[in-house]
Amino acid sequence: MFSKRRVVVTGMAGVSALGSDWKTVSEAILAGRSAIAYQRFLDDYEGMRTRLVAPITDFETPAHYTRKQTRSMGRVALLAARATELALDQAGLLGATCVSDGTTGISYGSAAGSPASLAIYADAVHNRHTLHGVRATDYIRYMSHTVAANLAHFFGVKGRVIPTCSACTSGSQGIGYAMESIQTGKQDLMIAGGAEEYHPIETALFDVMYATSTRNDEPHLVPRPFDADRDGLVVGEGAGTLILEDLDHARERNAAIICEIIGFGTNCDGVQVTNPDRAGMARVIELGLEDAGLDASEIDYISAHGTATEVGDIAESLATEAVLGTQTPISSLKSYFGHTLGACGALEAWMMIEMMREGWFAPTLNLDNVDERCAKLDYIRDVPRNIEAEIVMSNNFAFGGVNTSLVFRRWRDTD
Amino acid sequence: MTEKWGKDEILERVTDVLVRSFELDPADIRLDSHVVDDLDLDSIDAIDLAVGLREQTGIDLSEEELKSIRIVGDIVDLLRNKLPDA
Repeated sequence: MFSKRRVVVTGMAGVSALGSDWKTVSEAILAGRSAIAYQRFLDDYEGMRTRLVAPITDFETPAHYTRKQTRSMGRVALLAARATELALDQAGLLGATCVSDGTTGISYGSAAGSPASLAIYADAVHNRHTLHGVRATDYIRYMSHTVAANLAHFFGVKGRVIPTCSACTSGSQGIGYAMESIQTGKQDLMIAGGAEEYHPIETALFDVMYATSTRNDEPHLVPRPFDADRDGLVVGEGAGTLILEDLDHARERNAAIICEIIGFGTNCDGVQVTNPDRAGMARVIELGLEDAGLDASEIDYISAHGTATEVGDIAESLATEAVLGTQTPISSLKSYFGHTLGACGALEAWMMIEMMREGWFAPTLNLDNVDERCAKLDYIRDVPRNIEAEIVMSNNFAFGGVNTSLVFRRWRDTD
Repeated sequence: MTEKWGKDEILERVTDVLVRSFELDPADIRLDSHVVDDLDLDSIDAIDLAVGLREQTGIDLSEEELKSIRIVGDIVDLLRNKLPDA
């Protein structure tokens, strides 16, 4: 038996509709402020029921990014590059040799490449039967692994690249497979996470399934995860990056350790391609616990996937109850910045870890009356709750029946 | 194309494509500017240069013609030679 190497987080950052630094994000959460907004441009789409989006309104490509760095990047890759730059900076690794000498790999995904660039190709080749007007980089911007490939190019990474493009578990699988890459000694450092850029096509794909919220005149009251009056999700965008590192490597360079990642479970329902399956969800939570070597009672907080769809919320809450019981505090950060698809697992992990470090956890916004069909869990509501958590879990679930569970442990300098 | 352009007009159009496609300063673009050493263009840019020139002039450049370009004056000459006679 080989023993697994220990893996720690030494940098993390995100670009989100709530803000792109933890101070701004936490102020929004503590003020109970959501980023959901009415978007008039959705009027232009025949059949579109929702008008709600959680866009990032203040992102600009940093002036120091060069043309050759960004020409192959759509917005999804740009958001990821910025989040990764901030995370590497926090880790003390921006420009470090170990990022670009093969020591570091990348495990990162998005639900899709840049839809705007796919549209250029589709319009030219499919609609107009021409190649004229198609540029060399349009494909690179929309290819499935555009984010991981662009990050590698941007930061000069020469290790393994694992594109985790599994819709809403892209970010969480990014983190999980990065952890395993270090545990097994394949890499000492990994850039891990997920990203998504907003495009109306993403609202459309949920709208056609009747999964979007249509309380268009009350954006501040949706989404409502686990609430009896929930009516669907709201699509957002963003990027989240965690820098994972072999513990010995981090110690050798005297890195500041943020926390330890101790468990990753992933599986597939293998039942129905869009509807979540309670048994598959429960099993992935068990897998996360087993991987971390923990009992259910040792989890101090759960970051729920909590999209605010009827089938998702009910199945997730019952699966959570089945494995973890009803005593562990749980909340859904999607109530603040919507469903960021490929980014959600990484953004939610980043924010959960920050809250663990500060000893409080966010309430689910708009959770006034828990749906009776949901399990009677300890939902954090109305106000943040102070919890000195040692171990926290983040769960995510994707179309295709793909499920993930990540487990992190507070870091103490005596560890 | 209804009339033959002069060399200055072609340079003007090539400059316009280079500026819009590659964020270049028009002041840096002269007939003797080297596309790699002076303008920092590479093989990916060459493809987008062809796309931009086609949009601007209606003229297609072949792969061999693109590969033959060393200085901006080469682009101007290629376009001049491909223009129909007035």
